[in-house]
Amino acid sequence: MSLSASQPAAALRRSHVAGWELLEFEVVDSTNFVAAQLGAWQAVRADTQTAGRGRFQRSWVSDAGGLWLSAVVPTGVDRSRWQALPLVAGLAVIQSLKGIGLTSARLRWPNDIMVNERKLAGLLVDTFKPQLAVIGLGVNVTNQPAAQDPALKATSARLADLVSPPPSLATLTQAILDSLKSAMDVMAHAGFSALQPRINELWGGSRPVTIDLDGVQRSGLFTGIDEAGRLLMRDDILGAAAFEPHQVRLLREL
Amino acid sequence: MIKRLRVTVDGSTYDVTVEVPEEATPTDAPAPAISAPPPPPPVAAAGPAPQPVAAPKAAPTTATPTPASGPTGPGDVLCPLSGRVTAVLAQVGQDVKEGDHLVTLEAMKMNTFVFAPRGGKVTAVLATVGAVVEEKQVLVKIG
Repeated sequence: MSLSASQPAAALRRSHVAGWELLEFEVVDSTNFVAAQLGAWQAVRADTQTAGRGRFQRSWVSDAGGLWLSAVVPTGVDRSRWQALPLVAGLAVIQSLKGIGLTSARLRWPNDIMVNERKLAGLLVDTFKPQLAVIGLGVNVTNQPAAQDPALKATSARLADLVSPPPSLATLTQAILDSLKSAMDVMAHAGFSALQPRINELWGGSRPVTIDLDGVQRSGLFTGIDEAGRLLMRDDILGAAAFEPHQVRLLREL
Repeated sequence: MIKRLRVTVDGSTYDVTVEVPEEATPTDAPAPAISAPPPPPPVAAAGPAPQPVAAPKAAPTTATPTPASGPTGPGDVLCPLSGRVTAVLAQVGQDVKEGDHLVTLEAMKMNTFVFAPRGGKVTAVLATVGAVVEEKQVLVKIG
């Protein structure tokens, strides 16, 4: 793939929303790939994606009625300062959902937004150019993910089933971009440590998990993240332990 | 499976990378060798030089020589940061043009896309899916 091949026809609409320039399309392969061509504080929304993605090259069903949004943020040269970017993006999304009346959303490490045991939204952060990160977000709103993949019936959640009436895509886009901008400003000026306590309120409490450490499974109680963004887990044998995000390939809730 | 281990010998700490074969058989495994870390910087102190040790003896490990970060050529595509390889799109013999997507890495739960810095023919692909790679390691060579 060459990213230049991913450039769709001209945007249907260009507007300014909450400090961002928003480009909207009817259909793209992936909003993150379109955003790869853009600069900081630009964002892309599409009605549908033909090649929406999740982590590990998984596909993400992106049918009409859902929010498929990518936002480009500046990261600077110091990577350690930005290593918690996916967590901060999750915080921003949950805060914006609270603003539209959904209080039951929680984070599942590292970047899933859950309602009970169902996934409402997912985040995927890509970097295509130095010092810029693309935060890609998919939120199920009035779309029908289960119509595309029956397996999603039991595992996905939609705003339409949780908030009445569900927000319009325009309202939701504005709320999320606004919240993301605020979170980025805090991170740039006060650092991740200012946001870490707020993120730790969003896990829905400690819960038993199994983490995959490079093929070695380890079970324990997930208790949150520390001020360096490391995953904290406790078990009876070794007590408390902190893991760098790159050590943990996958976390499964038990 | 690639494992990174930290071993301490005579007070010196070494970070080593070992590969634990999924289904090692005597015929397909080369003689176990040691993926030795670079020797410690010369020190003035007398006494026996520490012997680098690669892995606990219990584990039947096969060496994965960490690709040398030695001299690199103009067509070498270097790893921009340490992480894990999640996709390898480049194939040996393939003609690529500048900007083609070659490899994807995941680090800190963010994907980093690695693109061809120039056009040419891919002469070597050193990245494998699942492998942990270090900054400046050669991922792909373009002739």
